This record gives sequence, structure tokens and C-alpha cells, in this order.
Amino acid sequence: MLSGNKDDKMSSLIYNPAEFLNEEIIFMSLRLIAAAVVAVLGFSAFRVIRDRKYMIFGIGFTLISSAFMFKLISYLFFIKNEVCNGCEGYTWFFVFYYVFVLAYLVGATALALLYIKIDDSYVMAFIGLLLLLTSFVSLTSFAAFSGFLGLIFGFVAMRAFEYYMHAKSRPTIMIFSSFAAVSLSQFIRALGDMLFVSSFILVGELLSLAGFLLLAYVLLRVYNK
Amino acid sequence: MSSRRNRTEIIYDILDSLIKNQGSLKPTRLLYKANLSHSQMKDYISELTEKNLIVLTEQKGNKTKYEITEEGYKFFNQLNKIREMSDALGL
Repeated sequence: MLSGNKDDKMSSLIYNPAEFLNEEIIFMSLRLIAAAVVAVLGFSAFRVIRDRKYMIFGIGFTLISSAFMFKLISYLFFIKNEVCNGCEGYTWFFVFYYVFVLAYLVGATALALLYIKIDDSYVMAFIGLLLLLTSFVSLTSFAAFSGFLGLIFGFVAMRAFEYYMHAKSRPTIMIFSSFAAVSLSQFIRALGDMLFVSSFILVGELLSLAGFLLLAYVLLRVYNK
Repeated sequence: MSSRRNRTEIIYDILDSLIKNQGSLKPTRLLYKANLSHSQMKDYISELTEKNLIVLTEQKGNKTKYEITEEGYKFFNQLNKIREMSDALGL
């Protein structure tokens, strides 16, 4: 059963079951740190060799990390019981939630674009419009948001798998596993949101955390070798 | 078929060639070992010298050699880390 003691419409679309709220705050904080670590590594590489791909990589993970921060801020309004129709808290909650959605979508897409290598400005503009549209749809359906993110990370995982098949090294299989875990977690979350099965949501959140932590761990290990 | 090297890869190859030869090489040997054209050599050497990553030293009998500096070693280590990261990510 999803939390329904506040604004039923919003909470049923956006929030985890109330009994997992504390856990999600912990998971979200850890994911924020892991994504920030990956972003710092990307920017460190860019500082040394000035290659645009590391800048995009750094920006992508900065956006993902900021998205987690914005979602944590939106939780503050929820915890303080300021989310109700007509309340000022509702507006702020909505703003922070929308920034979370947009930052996560743009960050993940930036990452995917690194692997696609598109130079055509029309295609880029089309992707931008598609993202904007998805962000609006995400406001009414969290499952759509999770599903779209699952597809983006799935694409990145697929490219990482292709690279693993080529390189056959331990770090490449670990990178593939981390992206695959994040992708799968989004689909499980989407399913949980659609079927109202709270355990799916918890499993999705755990899997997503595992994916981000694994990614940060592998890159830190490789970078500090 | 090997693809064209980018700027970073060429710098890596120059520093790597120097390190593999006890930190110094004659200009012609460096040109050969790092697989550079004459114009590439001129451009990259001036950039690396400007950044104090390598220095031109004079040996006995007016012979010159390019030598990697302490900063050059540090930069090479950083490049190695970035390469490892790039290899892991497949970027």
C-alpha cells in the first residue's frame, strides 16, 4: 500500500511506500555520493587531457548526483508535512521534484550520447525535445520515468557489454554489471509502481544503489591503481 | 586495422618511448620510437618543452637528447590512470 496520508494523488505517483521512506533517504544519499565520486573522476581526467568526452561524462554524473540531491530536498517538504493542495510547500516540492526528473533524464542521456557519438545538431535537438516531453509525462507517471531511464541505462549497459566482449577484462565486466544493475533497477521500480507492489520498489532501489556503488568502486580502483 | 592516434595518444607514446629508454633519447630515435612525422615531432616537442614535461639536454660532442622531467613522469602516471579508466568504460 502506498503512502496516502498526505496528498494522495502526488504521493501515489511519486513516492515510495511510507514504510521505506527512511531507507530510501539512506539509499539516495549513498547514490548521491557514488555519483559525485564518478563525476569528480571524470572532471579530473578532463583537467589533465582536455578531452570533451570526459567533460560530458563529468557533467552527466554531476547532473545525476544533483538529481538525487534535489529529490532529497523534495523529501524535506514531505517529512515536514508541508505537502498539501494549496500549500506553499506543495509548489516547492513540485519544483524540486521536477528538477530531479529533468536532471536525472538529462544526465543519463548525456552518458548515453557519449556512446552513440552524434554530431548532427537536428538529432540532438530532437533528443532534447523528447527529453522535455518525457519529463512532463514523468510528472503524471513515475513508472514512465523509471521505464525511460531503464531504457537509457540499458542502452549504456549494452554498449558496455559489447566493449566487455572486445576487451574481456575484469573492470569492463564490472562496469557492464553496474550499468545493467541500474537499468534493471529502473524496470523493477517501474513494475512496482504500476502493480503497486512495494517489495519491487525496495528491490529496485537496492539494485540501483548496488549499481552506483559498484561503478564508483571500479573507477576509483582503476584510477588509483 | 589501427585507427589514427589522437593528441593524447601521441603525447603518451612520446613520454612512453622516453621512459622505456631510461628517460632520454636522441631526437631521431624519439621520432622513430614514437612513430612521428617530422612536423608532428616539431609541434609536440615544442608543446611538451613549454609545459616542462621534457627538456633538451646537450651531451658531449654537441649531441642533443630529449629527457623526461619529474613533471613529465607525473603527467605520464596521470595519463596512465586516465587510460585505465577509459579502457574500463570503453569510452
